[in-house]
Amino acid sequence: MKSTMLTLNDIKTGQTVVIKNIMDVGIATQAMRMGIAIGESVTCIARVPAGPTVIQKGGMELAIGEGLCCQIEVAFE
Amino acid sequence: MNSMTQDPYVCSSGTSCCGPTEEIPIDISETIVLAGNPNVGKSVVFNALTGLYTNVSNFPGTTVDIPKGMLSDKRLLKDTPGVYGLSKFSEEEFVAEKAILAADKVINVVSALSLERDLFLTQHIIDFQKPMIVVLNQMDEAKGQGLEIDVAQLQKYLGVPVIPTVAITGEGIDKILPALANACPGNPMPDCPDVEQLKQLEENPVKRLHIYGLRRQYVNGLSQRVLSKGVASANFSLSRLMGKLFLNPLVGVISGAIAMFALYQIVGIWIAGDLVNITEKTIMLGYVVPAIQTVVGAVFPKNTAIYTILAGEFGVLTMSLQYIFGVLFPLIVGFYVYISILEDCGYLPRIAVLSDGLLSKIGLNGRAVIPIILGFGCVTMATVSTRVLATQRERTIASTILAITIPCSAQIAVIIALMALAGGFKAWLVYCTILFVVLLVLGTLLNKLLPGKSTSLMLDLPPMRLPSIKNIARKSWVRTMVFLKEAAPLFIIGSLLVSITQVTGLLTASEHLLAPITVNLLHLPAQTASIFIMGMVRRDFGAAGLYMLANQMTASQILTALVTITLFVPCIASFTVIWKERGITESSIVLAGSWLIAFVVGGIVAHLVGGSGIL
Ligand SMILES: Nc1nc2c(ncn2[C@@H]2O[C@H](COP(=O)(O)OP(=O)(O)O)[C@@H](O)[C@H]2O)c(=O)[nH]1
Repeated sequence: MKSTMLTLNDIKTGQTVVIKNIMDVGIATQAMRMGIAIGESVTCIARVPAGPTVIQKGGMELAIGEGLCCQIEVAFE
Repeated sequence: MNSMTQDPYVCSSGTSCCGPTEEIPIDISETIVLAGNPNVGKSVVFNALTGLYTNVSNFPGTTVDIPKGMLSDKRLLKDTPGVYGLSKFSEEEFVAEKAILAADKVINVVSALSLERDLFLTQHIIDFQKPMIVVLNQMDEAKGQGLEIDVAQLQKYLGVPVIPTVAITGEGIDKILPALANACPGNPMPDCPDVEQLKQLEENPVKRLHIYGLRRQYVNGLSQRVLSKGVASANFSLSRLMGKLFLNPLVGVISGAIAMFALYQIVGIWIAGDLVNITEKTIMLGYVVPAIQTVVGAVFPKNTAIYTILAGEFGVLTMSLQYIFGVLFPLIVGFYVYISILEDCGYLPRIAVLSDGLLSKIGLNGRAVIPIILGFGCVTMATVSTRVLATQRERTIASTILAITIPCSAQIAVIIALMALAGGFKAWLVYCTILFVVLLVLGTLLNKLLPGKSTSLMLDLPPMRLPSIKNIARKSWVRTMVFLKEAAPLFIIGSLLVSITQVTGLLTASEHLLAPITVNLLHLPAQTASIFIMGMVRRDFGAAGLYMLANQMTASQILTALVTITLFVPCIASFTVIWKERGITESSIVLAGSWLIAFVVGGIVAHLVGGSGIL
């Protein structure tokens, strides 16, 4: 359990993490609608260098830009 | 059937609307609104219900148009942009929410592939107590993924009719309209406040997040109870694998290069070159234009101003027709078919992901690849498509970059021919590098200078699929029609303006005015001044004019001229669109900026390249 401010920008392809915190209320609200909420676990299926992180949850694949990823804190289970 | 109109229309939500084809009768008995997340098959369902050929898109967010069509019994069916909830986060969400809340009944299209995600919107509409039914679409792909959904249970929990469908084959579509009779408000989530109170609470961002949290939790539980997972088919694994593959940067660069080459070959060479040669030269200039000139000439003598304005070189009747049908039409169709294929198979959103890093450096995000790719076809068309971008700031940056740095296909065709004279590969390399640098510098500057913040990418990636020919044909056709309706008047106004300047002698006067710049700063022959002016009428006219002068110019002069003419003012039609979309102040700045940048960069090229002798 090392949960020292890891964000979606720090994870690698293949890793599964749990969402711990989404800093901006607006972004948290938008993400909530798509099923990305605190406590949910998501798997990183692709990382574009200096670009978005692509996560998978259920049947959904979602690309999240760097600027948003750094607002989403995660932790390994 | 007789009292209602058969003329459905497609309307752009970005502009006030739509003119002569707007013939929806006033005595509508009921307004039914289609709602759903992006990419669930809403457009396919819409077309199946109304028979209207409309925009069918695979790229989340491209449904900026709101198509409407009539059903039986004077019922109006409205499509809405794909949204994940009723929350006004963007212009599209605003439009969608408004339409949904104003509806008499809602048809909520839900993808069986992403039930858990999609049910949030469903529950949101239920909580607002709109009479609705749910269409559970893409059942075939859900089966392929091994997903089983207990439809009866789902219907019971939601409290509204649920119709399973496979929209692309038409399966279940015939059950939708009959089910509308049983549309009802459904079961709100537990402890849900009444509608008015709920709307109030959701106005407050913090309370809204709390409520969304409860709703999310509730629908997650609901979806767990109705969903079971079996074994996925081989087809599905292949689609997943392809999807991942195309997110790999190396694969992305290679496939992107192939896609660009295909675009260059098909649109740049075959359509802009060979096909337009036939449509413009043989058909329009060979038959249509002379015919118009004969008719007009019979009424107004050839040397009168009216003749010149109507049927002269830039005549309203002659040049606009020649341009719209001879050049634009084949190009636009070709471009839309191309982009629709990339879109329908799920490749385009993945390009958006790969280019997001670079685009976010210039204040855009991955979504902006669509306008930029379209820009290589027609800058006017691309400027209209900047509406897919979330904020005004992004739209400003994208339109400016398009207007200044992206050469349209009409121009590219001539540029290709000229490059061969200017030294081939080396000249291309210098030319592309210069444009790319200008694009980066301009974008970075705009990103620094403009107030506010651009949005970051949050893009749902649809599965990779085999493109459906029917969809592609429908999409391309509707888009072409929408574009021509919007742009044709602008091209006509453009040629009207130019023939007036020609008649009044302003054209020759402005040619003389520019001459000092071209000769002294750019080291070009004096005649090139007229070419720059021509470039404003039609970008390719400018480039084509250069071609005729090319044998008197050195390689570095050709390159200088090409760089200058690319950066120089966009054509009149694209300028008018920028004016319409972005306002007079902004379009004037773009116009002035393009002159400045064109001559400054052209001057630098003339001195550096001309002096170094690298060509
Ligand atoms: N396999 C399958 N594909 C579908 C079905 N319905 C729509 N599609 C495809 O899903 C994609 C998105 O559909 P579209 O109508 O553009 O989605 P919209 O964004 O909701 O309007 C297109 O590529 C369609 O061909 C379906 O029932 N089965």
